Amino acid sequence: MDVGSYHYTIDGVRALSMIAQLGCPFGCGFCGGRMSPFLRRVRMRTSENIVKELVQLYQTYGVTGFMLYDDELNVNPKIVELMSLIAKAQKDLGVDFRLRGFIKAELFTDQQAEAMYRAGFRWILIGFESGHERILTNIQKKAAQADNTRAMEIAKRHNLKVKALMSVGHPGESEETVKATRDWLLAVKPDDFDATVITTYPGTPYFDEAVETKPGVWTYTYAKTGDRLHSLEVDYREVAEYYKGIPGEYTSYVPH
Amino acid sequence: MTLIHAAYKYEQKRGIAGRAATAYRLLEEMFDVLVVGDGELAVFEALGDTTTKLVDADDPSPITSSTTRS
Repeated sequence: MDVGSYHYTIDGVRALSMIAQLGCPFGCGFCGGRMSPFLRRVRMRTSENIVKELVQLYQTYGVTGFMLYDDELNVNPKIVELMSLIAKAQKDLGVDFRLRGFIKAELFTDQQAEAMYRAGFRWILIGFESGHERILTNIQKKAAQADNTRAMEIAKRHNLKVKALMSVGHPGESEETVKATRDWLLAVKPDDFDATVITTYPGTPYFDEAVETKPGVWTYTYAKTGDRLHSLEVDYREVAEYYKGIPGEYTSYVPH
Repeated sequence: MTLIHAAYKYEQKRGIAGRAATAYRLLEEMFDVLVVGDGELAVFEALGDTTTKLVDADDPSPITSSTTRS
C-alpha cells in the first residue's frame, strides 16, 4: 500500500483510516442497510486488538493520526476501556496520537468524553441530522433535540471539537423545519458542520418501506406522525446524478 | 447489490414485486454470480466452479449455510 499517497490529516497530523467495529444497530430512516444483517449487527474487536493495529500503523508508517470510521464509537460498551488502552500505548511509546471519530449523541457521557480526550481525540463527528423534534422522530433517530444539545455541552466541557452532520429532505421536512435546524446550529455553535440532501437509496427504510402511490412514485409514511416522503423510481444502473450536485442544477428524484 | 437484495427480500416478505424486485432482476441479467453482504470470503465462492447464482453473505452465519440457489 502506498501510504505516502494518503494526505489526510487531523489537526495538522498525518493520519490513516481505521475501522474498529462494523455495523450499526439503529434504524434511521435514511440509512442504508437497516434490513441487512451484515450492516445492522454490530461486530466488535477486542480493545487489545484495536490498539495493536494502531501501534502497528505507528511503528510501520510513523503516522500518529487515526481516523476511526466506525459508525458510532460509543455503541461499544467498552469504549472507556479502549480509550484508556490507547492512552497507555502512547505513554509506553512516548508519542502523542490524534484521533477523530463518530459518536451517537444520546449515548455520549462525560466519562466517555474525558477518556476520548485523554486518548488523543480532539475532534468528534455527530450525526444530529436535524434541529426539529418532529423530524428527529420521523427519522427514528432515537436522539431527541435535548440529547443532541446535551452532547454538544459534554463535548465542549472536555475540549472536543464537534463536526455536526446535518441532513434535510426527511418526511415532514418544510421551510420551518429547515430553519429550525439552522437555528439549532446557531445556538449550539458546532466547530464545523455539513448539511446533506437525503437520497432514498435501496436498503434504506425510506426506500424499502415505501409503497407505490402513483405510477412511478413511491411514498414512505412514518406511521407515528403520518409524515410522508415521496421518491421517483430510479434505474440505479444508469442514473447517478441524483446523488450529488449543485442545488437547483441536479435532479433530486424527490417530488413535492 | 447488498442493499438492492435487502430491499428485494423485504418486498418478498411483504408479498409485493416492486422497484427492488425490478432492480434485482436487472442486476441478475447483467452478472453470472451476485455476491451480497460481507464479500471478503464470499467472493471466493463466487469465483469458484459453482452453479450458484447468488452468494448470500449478508447473514453473518457461515456462508455455505446462507447460500441460496436459483
